[in-house]
Amino acid sequence: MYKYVIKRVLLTIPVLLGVLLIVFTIMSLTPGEPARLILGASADQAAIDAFNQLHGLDATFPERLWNYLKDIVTDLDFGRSYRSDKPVFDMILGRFPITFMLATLSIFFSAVIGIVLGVVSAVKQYSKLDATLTVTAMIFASIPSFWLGMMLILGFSLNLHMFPSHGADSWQSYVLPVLTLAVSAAAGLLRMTRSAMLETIRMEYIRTARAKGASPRDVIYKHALKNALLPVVTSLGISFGTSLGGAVVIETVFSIPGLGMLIVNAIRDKDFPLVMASILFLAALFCLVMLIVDLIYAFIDPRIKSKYLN
Amino acid sequence: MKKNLLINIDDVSGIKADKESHAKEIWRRLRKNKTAMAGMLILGIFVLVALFADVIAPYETAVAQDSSMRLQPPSAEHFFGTDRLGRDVFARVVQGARVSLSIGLFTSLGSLIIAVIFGSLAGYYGGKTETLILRIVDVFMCIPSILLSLAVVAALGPNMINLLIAMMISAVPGKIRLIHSVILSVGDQEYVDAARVYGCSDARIIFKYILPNALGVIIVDTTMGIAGTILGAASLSFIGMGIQPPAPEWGSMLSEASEFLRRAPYLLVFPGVSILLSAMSCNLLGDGIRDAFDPKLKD
Amino acid sequence: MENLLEVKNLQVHYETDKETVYAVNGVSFTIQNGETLGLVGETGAGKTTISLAILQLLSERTARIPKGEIYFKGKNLLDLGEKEMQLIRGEEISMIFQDPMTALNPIMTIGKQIAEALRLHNHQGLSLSEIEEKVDEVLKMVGIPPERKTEYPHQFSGGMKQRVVIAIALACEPQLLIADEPTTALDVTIQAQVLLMMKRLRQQLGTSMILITHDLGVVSKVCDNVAVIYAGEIVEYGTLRDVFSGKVHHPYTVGLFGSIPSLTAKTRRLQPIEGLMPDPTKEVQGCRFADRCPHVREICRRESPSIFAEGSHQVKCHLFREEEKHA
Repeated sequence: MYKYVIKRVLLTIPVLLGVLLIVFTIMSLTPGEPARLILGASADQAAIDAFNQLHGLDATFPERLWNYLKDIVTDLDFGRSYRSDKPVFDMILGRFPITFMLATLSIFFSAVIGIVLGVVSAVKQYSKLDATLTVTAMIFASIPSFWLGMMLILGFSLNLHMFPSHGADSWQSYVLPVLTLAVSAAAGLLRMTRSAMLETIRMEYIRTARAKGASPRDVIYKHALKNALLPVVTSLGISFGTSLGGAVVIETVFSIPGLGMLIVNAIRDKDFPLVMASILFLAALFCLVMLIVDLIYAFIDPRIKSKYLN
Repeated sequence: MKKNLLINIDDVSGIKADKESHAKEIWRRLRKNKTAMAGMLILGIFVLVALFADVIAPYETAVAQDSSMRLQPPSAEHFFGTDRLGRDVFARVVQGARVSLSIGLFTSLGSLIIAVIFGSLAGYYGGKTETLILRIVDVFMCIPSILLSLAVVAALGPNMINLLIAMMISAVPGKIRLIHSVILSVGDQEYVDAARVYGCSDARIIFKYILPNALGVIIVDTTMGIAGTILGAASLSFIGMGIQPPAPEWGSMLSEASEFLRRAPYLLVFPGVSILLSAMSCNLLGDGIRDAFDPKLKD
Repeated sequence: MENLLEVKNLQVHYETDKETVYAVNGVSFTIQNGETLGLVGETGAGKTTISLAILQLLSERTARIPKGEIYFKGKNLLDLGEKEMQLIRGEEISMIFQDPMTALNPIMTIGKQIAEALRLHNHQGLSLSEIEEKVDEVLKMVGIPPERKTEYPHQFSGGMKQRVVIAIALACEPQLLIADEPTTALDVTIQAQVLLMMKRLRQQLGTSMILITHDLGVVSKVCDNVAVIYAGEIVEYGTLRDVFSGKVHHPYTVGLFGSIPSLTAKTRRLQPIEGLMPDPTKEVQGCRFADRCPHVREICRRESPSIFAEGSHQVKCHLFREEEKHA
């Protein structure tokens, strides 16, 4: 089994390199010289040359890519901010815990809510409850999260004064943003769990279990549920990625000083090293989560597990 | 005997013979699905509003500023009130429908075309082409889609065209994967083998035999993709990385509204509800089409 | 001898908001202890619906049984509640489903899946280790080495999977086994093995069986009695000898035999039965086979035929009623 783990971990490396290549390429598509954008049209040639040399911009594309990669691997050096001149890696590390916390909390709550309600909805198919849950999930899956966040601020902060509307100073300030992110993720997971469950219930082995004399309850909890949850594990990982992306937007709504705010401000400032490193960082985190999900999957699905046991 | 078979090759697939009745049957099932019909109705209204936006509320009224009429609540004159620059919110919402719907539509169709090309190449030829395309797709899928779009807009600069490109780049990888898997599963069917045996060209097999039979999946994905794009584009505009003011766009209208949450909460309502309803109508319709194509999923 | 199972005038309809499917239309048959009945007919004739009705596993939402009784050891199963049926399923009546590939839970070891049947009907209060011993025993019985009980279904071939399915069905030594096309999904060589094994086990355990199939060859090897089903009706019913070499036959049975190749008889060309089964969503006035029948008469479209009986042999056709009259 550990052979599979090692293989899967090693396979993540080329993916991460690929992510780096894609993000680096996209970010170098910027029309015009970064130096001119940062220093202004009136800057003299000497200042521009100095800027280019400092940020390694006086090289060809492959050389810059190679240097970027080399610095990351050898020194964890993701370059320096165009604006503050600080190493971007340090800036990211300072902000990252908040974003990670947001995404993790929201995935946790959405998993609990989404999976439980998804199973209930499937088991009670054709009931009023199922109809209500599916329609509600559909609404919440279509709700723009930033709008939901603003509505929550309007209701719970400005009118009811229950939770703060911005910042990340106390646990209370996490309530509304986490709720905002969790609601749409939960809606997606509910729909996913429900359809996985319905598909499983139709399987012939469910009928075999019934023909053995198992009660409908036993059949659902012992046979259907475990099988149905297998694909849900993967979609949990994907939801985590969506939540990371969502956090970037939601931080703007709640003025939370996380990685998302950092990225948005860096884009406005045209601080490309900071933007690139932040996106790389989040993408790498997502790859890591998918790696963990794949490993969990391999352990719980005997069809994959046995392939690597011998 | 052999000649006979050649003539009947289209019947072998079973798609020509009852193509029409099949489409009718799907339409009949779709029509009976109340939520799908509700989705279709709402979407229809949005499409009409977008098409006749200039008749309902000309673009000029959507950008005309009137400092004497700032932050007015909804009234007979301004159905949805006015914003901080005294612009008519109703006109901006109406014009915004045109922006959001065209982004949704163009992104979905554009990315579908690209995905069909690469997905077909991968699914049909296999081997190295397949491996290469799928590995690249895998890498793209490792970047959360909003971050990918954000990177593109950050590099190219925020405007309508770049937003379209950004949304497409993040939509294409998932679609390639879908088309690839569909082609693999449909391509295994015996009628495709039959067509191959009788010497149909590859392009003909893909377009005449495989894609029509995968139509259900593709339509559902495209419909729901429009919802995703509308939401994604609005998010980007909201954080200032999409359509730029003064152009009327629901997401950027909400961004402006965030400064007046207490004074003018109505600014929040109309653009937000528009995004919600337009995205939801596509999702409802997509769901309904899926059930109509595959009725056994409902039992 | 007492009947183990007696199905009387069973009707099953599937009702959706769109239409009603008349799946089974008044089917009657009996099975005695140790006997095997073959239910023969085309796909969609209602064979599987009959077996699910016996086990009360029809979809609660769509299936209705407007008429009929199913007596098992004197009790009408249709009167029993879900709890009582659970005690019967697996213990007294078991079922083997068509496709062994999908009939086993992919993430449960086969040993556990067999043990589950034993645990659910553990009246003797066997301990866990005794159940495990029983699992080994059952596995040996179907020719699978007991060491393999910790393996998962995907580690077995199709034929081996079907053996596991049979092991589950026979674990509690039921009195009646319903086998729904048990060999259709298997390779021809494996088919014979599995059939032989089933026959041997049945004799060993004294189990009665309903064998559902469209394969007349299988029927001739395994069954004592045969019921030919067409569009939810039994059109011909009798002993194996009656149906295979009786004097009179239902035109549909003749068609069935005409559509399989024979090595012994001097073959003309195979005779397929022209046309398709009637639309099951429409109620039929006369004989359901009328549209495809080479001997169709005017009365066939007007009146549903009654049963022509000769000893144990029954044929549901107007043809013989009239011949009787003429004679």
